[in-house]
Amino acid sequence: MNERKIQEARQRAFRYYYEDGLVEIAVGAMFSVIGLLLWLYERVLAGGQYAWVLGIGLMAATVGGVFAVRRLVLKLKSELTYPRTGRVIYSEKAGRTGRWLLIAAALALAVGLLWVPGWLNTTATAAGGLLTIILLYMGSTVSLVRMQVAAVLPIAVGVLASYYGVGEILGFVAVFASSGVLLLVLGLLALRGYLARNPYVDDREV
Amino acid sequence: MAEQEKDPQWPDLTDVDRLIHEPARLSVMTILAAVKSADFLYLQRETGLTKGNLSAHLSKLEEAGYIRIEKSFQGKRTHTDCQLTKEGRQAFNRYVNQMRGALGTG
Repeated sequence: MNERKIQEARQRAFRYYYEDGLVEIAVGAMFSVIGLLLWLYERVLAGGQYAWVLGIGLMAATVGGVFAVRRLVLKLKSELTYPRTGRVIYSEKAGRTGRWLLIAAALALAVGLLWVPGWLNTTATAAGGLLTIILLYMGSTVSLVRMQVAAVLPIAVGVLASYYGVGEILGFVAVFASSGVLLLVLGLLALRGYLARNPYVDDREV
Repeated sequence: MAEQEKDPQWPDLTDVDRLIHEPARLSVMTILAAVKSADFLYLQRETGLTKGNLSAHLSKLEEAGYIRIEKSFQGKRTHTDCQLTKEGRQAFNRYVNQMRGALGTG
């Protein structure tokens, strides 16, 4: 076994976390909820006396969503994934370098937006660009083509929203809602394929 | 007859860790080196070994102090979690460096 094989084995271990599609389902659901709350804020309550309620709801959905996603994914994995293909716990050291690269890419995006035409320099473009960077990073780290393909959508929607001047909040809605729905669909398709390929292991020792 | 001197240009593989060098155990060590822990089912699936074969290899690695095995019960099922020990990680890194030097990929 040469070093390439060792790297492949490591890559497979990291990729395993995403194989069942549960991460995409959870993140897609979170993005969709954020998009919905933003839409409600813009269309229903903006300027109204209860707008602050949605504002708080949005913050809770975003911050709480990050923690909820992790717990939800682990819970679903213990029910669906671990009994079929086993359990892996990842080292927390893994991916530290990648996180710095991600931060650097986000900063580069922020700086790059200073040099684009005015119509393109919007929060929708920024949000779309950031989501694209995150999906590209995740997709390339674990070699999942579906994530790399999905990465095209957020920036495309952000640019389109900016081009058509839909406004800041509706631009956000477009980016988050479309990305959320796409991730949900891709995650569900991945889960369906995973469950079909991996029957439940009815064994006394796992 | 006097012992022949080794040519320093040729890498010395006579002292490679044979416990790790065995293909099945190398697969197990490689997987465990990449994660904090992995259970029996995951290792079996990834290595393609039979239950008995994998159990035997895990026992050898545990006897050598390279891995730690923790058994627990989940309902009626025995659940086996494996992780590299500190000695196991050091031994694996030594092995990788040795092979890297021998294959000239370092």
